[in-house]
Amino acid sequence: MKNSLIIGLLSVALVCASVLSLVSGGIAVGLTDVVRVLTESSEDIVSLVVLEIRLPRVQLAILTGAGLGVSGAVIQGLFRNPLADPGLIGVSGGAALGAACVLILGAQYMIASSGYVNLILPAAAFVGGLLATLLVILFSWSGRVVSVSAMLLVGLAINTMATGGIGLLMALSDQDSLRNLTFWLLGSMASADADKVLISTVVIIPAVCLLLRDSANLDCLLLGESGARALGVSVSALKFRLVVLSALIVGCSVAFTGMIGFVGLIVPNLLRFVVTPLHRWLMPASAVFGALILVVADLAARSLWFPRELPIGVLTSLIGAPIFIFLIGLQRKKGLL
Amino acid sequence: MRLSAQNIIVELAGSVVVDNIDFSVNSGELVMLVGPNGSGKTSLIRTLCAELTPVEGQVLLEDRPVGSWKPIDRAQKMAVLFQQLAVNFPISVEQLVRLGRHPFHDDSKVADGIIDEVLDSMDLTSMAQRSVLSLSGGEQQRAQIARVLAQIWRAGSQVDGEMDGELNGVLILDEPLASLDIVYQYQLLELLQKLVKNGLSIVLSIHDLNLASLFADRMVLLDKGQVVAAGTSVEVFTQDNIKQVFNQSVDMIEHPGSGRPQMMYSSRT
Repeated sequence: MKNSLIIGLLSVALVCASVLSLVSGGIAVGLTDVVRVLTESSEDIVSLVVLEIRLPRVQLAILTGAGLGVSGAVIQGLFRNPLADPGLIGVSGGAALGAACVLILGAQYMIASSGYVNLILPAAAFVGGLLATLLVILFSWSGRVVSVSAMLLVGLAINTMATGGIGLLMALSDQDSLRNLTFWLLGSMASADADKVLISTVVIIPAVCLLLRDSANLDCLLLGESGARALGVSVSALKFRLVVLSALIVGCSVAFTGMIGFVGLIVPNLLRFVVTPLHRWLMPASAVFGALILVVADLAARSLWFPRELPIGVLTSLIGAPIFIFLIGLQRKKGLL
Repeated sequence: MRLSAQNIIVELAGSVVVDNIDFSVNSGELVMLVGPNGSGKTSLIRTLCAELTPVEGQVLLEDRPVGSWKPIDRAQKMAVLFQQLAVNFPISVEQLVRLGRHPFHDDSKVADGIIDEVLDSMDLTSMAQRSVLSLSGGEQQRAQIARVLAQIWRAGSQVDGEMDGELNGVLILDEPLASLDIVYQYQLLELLQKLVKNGLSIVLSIHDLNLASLFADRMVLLDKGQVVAAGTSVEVFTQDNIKQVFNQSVDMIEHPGSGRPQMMYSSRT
């Protein structure tokens, strides 16, 4: 009862924030205008601003936020540690390296200026993220046993390698592509368009739905791998599904919006104060709350310093990191760290 | 339900931890594994529940190798309590215990009834809604025991009075008495005896030899991965065996009620 009430309230807040985001900005748009352009076709400037610029941003923020929230809850359940984060398993780093390759090296071969860059850039990030995950799996899985500590360490190594690779590419790059890359690395919704929304929808929504089907199995994993197996869970298959699906989600969101840190970490942790930690409730709540946070963060990113736009990843990091430290303090107090 | 191991050898990190052991527990039997630290009790238990695979020999649940069961089918027949289970998330005691019903698709009324009964059997009803993180070590242990009990419990099994539910399954407990105070130790063993009378097969490891002697149908004394003695407490729990395995001199007396052997530490002077 309490759980569904909270998810309901978060959903209402998400709708309100989305509408607010559609009407806010440099060109004044009223609530009636929004309803008009969403229900009938017209080609005036208001229609263009709402449908071509603001709506895709809101949609992409919702999809990315929901995906990051859910994959955060999943990775924390998988590692049985509330301080785990999707970035930990190296996906974000791998994805960023993939995209950086396209942005810097691609510029020299005219790829970056071709019409396909919108597809090639995310595809490269996507491949980088998946390769990173496969590397983690390769080095931390042996037989039916999966070593969580090896997984974390390989993830750390991959992130370090990715940082080094990106640094190398930066040193080799010219001014324009460097600026592109830097901005992208910090995370932004500014490049949202219908194509990106479509691809995100096709990747993130099915992946989230598949993850939700494993919520009861994730609860069993709270007892550790042996404990979960004794409850009838096929643990290795479960871990494989969880890792690949969260890699898909994180890879896709890094591809289109850059590095948006801490959302996957903060969202489930804050929710655990108000909803039950059982994944049946935590995961849907994380989807809605993650979406809400990114819609609000995007609105703040483009309103706070108008007409300049702040990178959204900067905002989430500046707010998220202190919360992260607060959570570490809380864990220490409970004697869990 | 019968769980048996034939001539199993188990290696961990290159060394033999279970050395050619024969073992079985039958329906309606309470078997207790005793032996010093590192004697192979936990390794044997982990092999019995297919967490470790023997390099030789095999473990059979009914007549099929325990590892070849479909996990969910096996979980409906066999519940296992492992040592030192820390839960890092603030789920409630009731939610933890309910995980024990995961292998079953019973409707919520049946599950609720079972949960209430096992919570009551472990004296946890008053703390059902508390977070497991707020419990003491002994209370957490009781909550974990309640969880595995929920897994083998059947509707109609009553703690008090005669049980009328026929229990057909195996319960494996690795040091269930750890961190429990003397009252709960005794209560748990009494409860396990009742479950066994209703047809359950139970294997557990235990350090308290006197309690083992009082409650076990059979005792298996392990040392260095091998069985030193197996049988009734009178056969296994002897001065010579204790001296051989633990290198400790003890005096034996007879328990007044049951006539089973009990030990006292020999005077140092």
